[in-house]
Amino acid sequence: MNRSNAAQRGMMRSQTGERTTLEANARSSNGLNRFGRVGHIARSLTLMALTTLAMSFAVWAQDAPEAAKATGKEAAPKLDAPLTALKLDTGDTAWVLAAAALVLLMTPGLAFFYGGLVRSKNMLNTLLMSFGAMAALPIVWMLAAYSIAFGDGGGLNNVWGGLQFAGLNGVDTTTAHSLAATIPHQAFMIFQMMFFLITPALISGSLVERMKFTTFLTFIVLWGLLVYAPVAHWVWGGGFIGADIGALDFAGGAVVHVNAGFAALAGALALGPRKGYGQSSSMRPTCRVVCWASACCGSAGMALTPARLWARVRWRLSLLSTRLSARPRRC
Amino acid sequence: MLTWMLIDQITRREMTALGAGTGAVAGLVGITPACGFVTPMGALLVGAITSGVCYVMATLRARGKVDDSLDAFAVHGVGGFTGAVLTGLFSSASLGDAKIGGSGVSPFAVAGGIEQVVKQIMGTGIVAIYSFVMSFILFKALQAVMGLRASDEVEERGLDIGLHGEEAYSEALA
Repeated sequence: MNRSNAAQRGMMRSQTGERTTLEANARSSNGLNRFGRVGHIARSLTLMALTTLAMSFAVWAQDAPEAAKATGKEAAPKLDAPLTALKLDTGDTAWVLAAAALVLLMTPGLAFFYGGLVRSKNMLNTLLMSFGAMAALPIVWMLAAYSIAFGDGGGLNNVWGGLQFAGLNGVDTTTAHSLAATIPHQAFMIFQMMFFLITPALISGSLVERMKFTTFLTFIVLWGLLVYAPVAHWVWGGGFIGADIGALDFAGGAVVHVNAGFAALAGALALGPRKGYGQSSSMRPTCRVVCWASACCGSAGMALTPARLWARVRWRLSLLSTRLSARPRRC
Repeated sequence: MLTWMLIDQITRREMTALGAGTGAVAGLVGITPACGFVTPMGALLVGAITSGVCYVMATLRARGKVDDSLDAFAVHGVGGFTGAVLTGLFSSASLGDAKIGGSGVSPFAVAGGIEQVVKQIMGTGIVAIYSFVMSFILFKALQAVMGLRASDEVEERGLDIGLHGEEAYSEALA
């Protein structure tokens, strides 16, 4: 409070010179000095070390079976369960990649939509929740989540996909996933990753204006692994909801929206309401920001979501025809 | 989106940009599970019905105590569920899935039947329950380990300055 009063006085006196020092003040007050600079550096280093470790694991995991496959290939081109021979269709592949790019853009669209709906003092935080998801989750997806969602879990395949594709081991451009025989496996993986990015970003809608950012980032990583990946496996990857119950979910009604929506409800309950919720009307966003939001959402969200849906229509229809012609196991 | 704006116009006498955006999202959420299985005419109905259901939910939410700030649950949770149920109702055999009975020739055909609706409710319900329970456990665990909320002071001043040390708009404009 004192600081913002000072800020206002400072603004009155001189515009630019005062401002830089005030910003510096604000920056130094936000938790850096709690552990001291050394503690902060140590934490950053630990984080970097862990990331590097994870990366090198991924590279190693990709390398090792590559060699095994090279020898195996000459003997017999037999592929493990969800893999299948690639019947490359360039049209399908181009379309899936284009659709993946469009779905990717939905997340920034969402960031602007949500960002425009909060009060201007929380704008950047809300934007960063979506962009943070876009940054953190691809790594999680490549390291393990893709495998849990679309791998073959053997005896446990009804509930989880195992670690067959951990670190994208065996996910290459010369074979295909049996769910999409006409496109390379990597294109399939990329396309599915886009849904993995936007789902946790959707949850942020019930958490804005009050959640700690570090906790949010930790939450979405754990949520992606423990909730999204298994649910995607149940519905799409051969688990019990899609295969046994026979529920239909074309583009993520259950996996993306119901999943995110109920997580959002849990989050709103766990967090409690914002300060002053229900008492003042000042929770409404400022006019200017709403205009910005609708413009951005209009161009990004609304134009792109139908594109995603049609992408799926086109893509799944092509799948269905291939699947109907050669359907060996479950219906 | 049109449904939402229409309801806005009828109940509040004004069409809001916020309503247009939210309505558009609600319609898209509704059609998400259905888009490969319904005819274009069915899709119109799915969008309109889902948008109406979400509007009711968002209104109820605004009266309640749970602060689902940007209606993530009202739109995505409830809308997704509605869409999933309607998928069962409107899914059409003419679009290639042999699992579904019915003719699907008439544009408004209710081809999926009750059987598929029950499957949809079961499947989606399991997802909803699992997601809610697991997320709640995760939130509570993180609350114990690192704390969920920003401090009161930070919340008061805005999370931009408090957590990121930056501002989106200069004070002169805000």
